[in-house]
Amino acid sequence: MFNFLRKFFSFGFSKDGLSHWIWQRISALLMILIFVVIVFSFQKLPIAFTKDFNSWIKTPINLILFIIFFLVVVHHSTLGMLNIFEDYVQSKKRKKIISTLLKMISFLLIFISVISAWNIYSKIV
Amino acid sequence: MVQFHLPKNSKIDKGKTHNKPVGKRFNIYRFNPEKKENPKMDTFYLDDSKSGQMVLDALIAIKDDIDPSLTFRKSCREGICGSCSMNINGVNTLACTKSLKDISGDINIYPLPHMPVIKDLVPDLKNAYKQYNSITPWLKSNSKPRNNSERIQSQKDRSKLDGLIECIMCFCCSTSCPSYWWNGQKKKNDYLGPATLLSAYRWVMDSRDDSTSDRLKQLNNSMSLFRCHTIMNCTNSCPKGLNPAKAIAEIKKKVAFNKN
Amino acid sequence: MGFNSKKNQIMKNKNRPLSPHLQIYKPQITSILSISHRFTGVILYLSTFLVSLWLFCTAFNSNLKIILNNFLFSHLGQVVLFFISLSFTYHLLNGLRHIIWDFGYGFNIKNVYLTGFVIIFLTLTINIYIWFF
Ligand code: HEM
Repeated sequence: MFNFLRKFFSFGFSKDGLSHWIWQRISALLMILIFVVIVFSFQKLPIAFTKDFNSWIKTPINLILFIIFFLVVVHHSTLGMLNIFEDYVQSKKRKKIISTLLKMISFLLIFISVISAWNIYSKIV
Repeated sequence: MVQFHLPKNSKIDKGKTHNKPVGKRFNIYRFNPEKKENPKMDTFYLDDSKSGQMVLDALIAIKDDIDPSLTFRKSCREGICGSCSMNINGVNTLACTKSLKDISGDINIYPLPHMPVIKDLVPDLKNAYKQYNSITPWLKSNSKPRNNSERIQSQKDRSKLDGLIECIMCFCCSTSCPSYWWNGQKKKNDYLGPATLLSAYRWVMDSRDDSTSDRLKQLNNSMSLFRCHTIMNCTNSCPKGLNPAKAIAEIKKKVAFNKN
Repeated sequence: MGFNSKKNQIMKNKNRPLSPHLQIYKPQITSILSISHRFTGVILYLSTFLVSLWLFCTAFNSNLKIILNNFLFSHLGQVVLFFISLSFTYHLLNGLRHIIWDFGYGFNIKNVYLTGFVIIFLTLTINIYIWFF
């Protein structure tokens, strides 16, 4: 557990610059892929999005697709935001605080969204 | 937090106009270390008959005829020494290869951006040279050359160095890079900048060099190499038409695929 | 080494000014598109909050959902959504451009400008199509 926490809090700020860079690209490619799939499965996207979404996500595949998409988006954007702060923030201490904060926010976002998506999925309308 | 604005001692004041308004107008950054004054912009006018062809000719004319205290670096006046790099109308380039004909209107001349200024257009390049030194820009081989003569390279291997060895270290590219502005001058562990990374790639690509994997390992941290965001200002400003951005991308690829 | 004391003093001057940078560097397609990628990335990051909130309301709080939907369909909300979709389109296309670069292609300045203009054009066309037709 301690090790996991340490990993979690050093994620994206490892000494090795490569993994950060590579994961930004991998997640970007994944997002494009999933995005295309989602758009195709959403034929009537802009029309009555709210209603369509509720019925769209009722299929298990779509639920899983959506959750994976959201995970990848949060992963990608957290890496991206970390990168931006790495550029503009000088003090090591402040970097540490900001990165911890960012990761907690990301965790919260994932938590809320996954629970909500599950709830919409399992709700009988 | 990175400072996006100029520090107090670097704010640019209005300077003076040195002569009568006849001909092209030159606004030039001045700083005198012997006076306790902020930098300022001085204005000079040069008649077309006097200014010569290139921006450097005009600077020399100003120094000869109007203000002998105007200070700038120059040597070869033909784009091979890399001394007269400066910011001319917003873009870094060599004064000696920038034609006056290509510029319509005023000519604004500043030193290379985001550098400590020694005097007028002369920036302190100490840190840039230190970074260049840090990539060990010399051949490191495990073997002795055969017959104690030169190390031989096939034409094909030699051609891999084309576009890399032509760099004249004028630092136009590095000082055009916003990433280098924010992270190039830290006390330790800074972003090396395009000029130095182009050289690093030159040694990575050299078939006679045996320390490729050490060289790549040295660059694989969050700062030295990976602060490059492919902004492309470097390639856009290189007065020799080289492509540091591509060299950096190739290094990233090598770091990614040559791991261990 | 023949340094007189005054010269030494000048060479050691710690109070050297910093030459101007952002203030004077010419904005170019290269730097403008790059900072736009960053800017749109941040906008998208912030809009994930909106997505989460919307999901949460849809799942758990129908009152809040009505308020949120009313906002999103108001003029202001539509403008917000328009900029999010603009950001997403731009970020996606420029992200693709980034990835092509990362494979080592498209680095000469001509291609950089060409692809730059292409993605600006595509971003505008796609968004005008989505929002006005
Ligand atoms: C769907 C297609 C997407 C693609 C192809 C993509 C691609 C990329 C790439 C290649 C980078 C790295 C840029 C660099 O190294 O300078 C990047 C950065 C970033 N992305 Fe994305 N992205 C996408 C979607 C998103 C989304 C949905 C978000 C936010 C929710 C996002 C947020 C960011 C942020 C914050 C950065 C950091 C910006 C920077 O470092 O300048 N991206 N993206």
